[in-house]
Amino acid sequence: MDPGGAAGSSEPPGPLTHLSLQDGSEAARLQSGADGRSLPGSWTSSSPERATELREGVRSCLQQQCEQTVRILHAKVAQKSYGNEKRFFCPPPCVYLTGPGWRVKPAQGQAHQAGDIGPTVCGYMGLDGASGSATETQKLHFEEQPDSREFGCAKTLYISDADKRKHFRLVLRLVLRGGRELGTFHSRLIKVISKPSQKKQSLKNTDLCISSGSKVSLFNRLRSQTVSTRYLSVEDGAFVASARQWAAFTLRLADEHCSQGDFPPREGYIRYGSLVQLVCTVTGITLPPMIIRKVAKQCALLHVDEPISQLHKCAFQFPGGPPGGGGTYLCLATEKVEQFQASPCPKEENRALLNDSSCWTIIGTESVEFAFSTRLACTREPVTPVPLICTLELSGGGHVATLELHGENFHAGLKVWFGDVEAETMYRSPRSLVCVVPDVMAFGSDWRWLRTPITVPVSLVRADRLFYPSAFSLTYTPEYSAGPGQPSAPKPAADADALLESIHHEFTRTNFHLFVQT
Amino acid sequence: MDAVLLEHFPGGLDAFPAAYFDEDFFTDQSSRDPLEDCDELPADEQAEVELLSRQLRECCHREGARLLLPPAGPAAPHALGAQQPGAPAEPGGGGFPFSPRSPPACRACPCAAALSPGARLRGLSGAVRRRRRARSEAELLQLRQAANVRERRRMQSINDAFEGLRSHIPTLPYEKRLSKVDTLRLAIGYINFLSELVQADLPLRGGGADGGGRLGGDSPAGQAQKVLICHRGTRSPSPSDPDYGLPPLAGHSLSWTDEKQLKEQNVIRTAKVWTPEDPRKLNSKSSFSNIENEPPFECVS
Repeated sequence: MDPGGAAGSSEPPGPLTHLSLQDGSEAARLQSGADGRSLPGSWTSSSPERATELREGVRSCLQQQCEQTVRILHAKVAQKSYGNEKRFFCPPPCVYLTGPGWRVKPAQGQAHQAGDIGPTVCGYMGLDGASGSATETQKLHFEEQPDSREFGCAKTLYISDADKRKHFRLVLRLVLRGGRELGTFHSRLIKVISKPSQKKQSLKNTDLCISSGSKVSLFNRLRSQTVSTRYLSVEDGAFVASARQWAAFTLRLADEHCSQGDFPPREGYIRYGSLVQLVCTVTGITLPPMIIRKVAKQCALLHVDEPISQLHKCAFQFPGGPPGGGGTYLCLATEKVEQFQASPCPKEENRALLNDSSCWTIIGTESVEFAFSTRLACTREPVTPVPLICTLELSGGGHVATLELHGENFHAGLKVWFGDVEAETMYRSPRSLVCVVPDVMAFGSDWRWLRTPITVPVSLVRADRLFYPSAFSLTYTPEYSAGPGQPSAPKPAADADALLESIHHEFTRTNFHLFVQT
Repeated sequence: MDAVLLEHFPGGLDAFPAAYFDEDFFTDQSSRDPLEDCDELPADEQAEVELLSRQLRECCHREGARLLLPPAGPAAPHALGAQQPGAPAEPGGGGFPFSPRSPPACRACPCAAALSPGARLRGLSGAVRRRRRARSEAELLQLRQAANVRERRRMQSINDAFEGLRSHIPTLPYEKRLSKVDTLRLAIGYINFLSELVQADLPLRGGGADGGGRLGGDSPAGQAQKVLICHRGTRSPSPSDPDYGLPPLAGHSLSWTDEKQLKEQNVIRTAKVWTPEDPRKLNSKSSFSNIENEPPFECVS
């Protein structure tokens, strides 16, 4: 469809790196190929057929959800393997393929043969850098789950002590049936540690600390055997101890004085002895608030209040038990998750005797999600690098407002779209794109439109029409001119600035003579 | 001061102590008045010193521009007075490398001793001669360089302080950078203005006659908070407009949201609590409850 533009996109962002507006529009001209849609600020679609067609394509992409999502879930730290040992990453890194786009795909291919069953995509996961030693790559077999997600995990990945790096990433390569590469996806950074920290964690060095609101995984390992590892997970609306799959939980400080319905956000690193809550990141199901306890020699230490640390052994005590060691604790019984009645330690005070099944290892987890849609794409190039937007920043005002996208994997071949309106986009760096916010009239010129707030999704489109949706949206809210110099509803934060501003102004006005320079 | 002289100073004009500029502001108020350095000198001595200094300066001028003595003026005798052996050392920790106060500059002028007219100053010239013998050319160069570094550092700290002060003073938008004198003048004015404001405890008058007495009435309020765009091609309302009679639109304010973040907060807020069963109580089952309906959990910490 658009071979010129396609060729441009497959190349790494090289010479088409421009900072200024003029250069940006020049880049736009080059990037959009020969179709001539290059007028700066050409938000009005008074443009050739092709642009109209693309606009319709983007609109349909937004209306009928057709995205494909790749989600990589992994631990934040990995213990290195010394010599010949192989300490497999725990919990095992796993990949979820979600979104309707994955299922639409085979139907779209005209050759829908009888043998077209089984997974349409397979993955290979390994470590990045591959420092010489042809690091083992593991094949992932995706299987469809009841929740219609495709799931695959890499159970036997490890990092050898020969690899001297302090951090690394996992690399996932997805290949479609037929051998065409879909793309190469990177995980977040993983920190390499030699063994769990024995030292009391200091809040001065919070490298290994776990903060409230971060995501963790919990697993239980009987007699340190890999085969016996079970992960806390949620299946069919219930907490289970799964041998196969793990869930990420948001670990948050719970407020002791609030009823459960209230979840005031609480910041800070979590210490032993705090009341915490584990909320499943996928299903939103939570366990009751529990007190996290440090575990040593199968005893819960009731008096310890140091910060918790990666790969520490811990236990979760249900509040409300008798003082001393006789409380109940979160425990597993093969698949099931239940409560275990601990008994006070006869030898030592402030200790509770636990069993193996109520000692959990805690580890921080990360997840990264890539979303794209190949529906409009006119090439078969890999979809990666998939741009990720972290945050937006609005500036300007008056006649021109700009929106800066902060994120990762940006390149010069990307255009920002607001709904079905393409915005003039300037590539700044792999972490920054700037675009001109389209005038609200671009979304409809009917006067009624202008009198209600309009929210439009923000997405990115590559030069070869690969579509990248995002979770971000922009809202236009009508503002009425309430009279000159009377800003509607001034906010208290703005007030302080406004005060200073007016003091400055008044000073300048009344002391103008002082500004006559000598 | 001409450009030829200036190019020896990396800091430009700023590298000179303010006293070298004929600015009453500084010479009047500087706490580091060079006079302090020689107030123990008897009057007749001072007269001799003055004579000496004039000759010294002439000599130095002949020596070349690099010595950079100030033009003949009232500051000069004071500066020389500071060079008296018994006088206190350089103030402030940083020496001015080319001032006649500093011994190297003096020694760089070979005729200084020869020109010495009075026996009373033999002590001074003797000291100079003694030291000249004691130190080699390389040593002197080193001393000079060290002094230069000190001076540069001192000026830098002063310049930084001025920069800090400048950042707190309101300026006109089109104004170029304030000079040091102007910075100080404005700072004094601004502080007076502020203290008056605090004492009077009155609201500002605002910009114009229509300024209604509200603070910030005519400032670009909330600019950081709100980005507003006006409509292109705005025209005056006409009765044929479908929205004629409705309050006129000033424009649209922009804001953005991250659905993912919202969803995450929502998940946490509406979390359902699943309580694991206690095997000892046979009929207690793992229970499911909506937190919104749950009575507050009893907590013992």
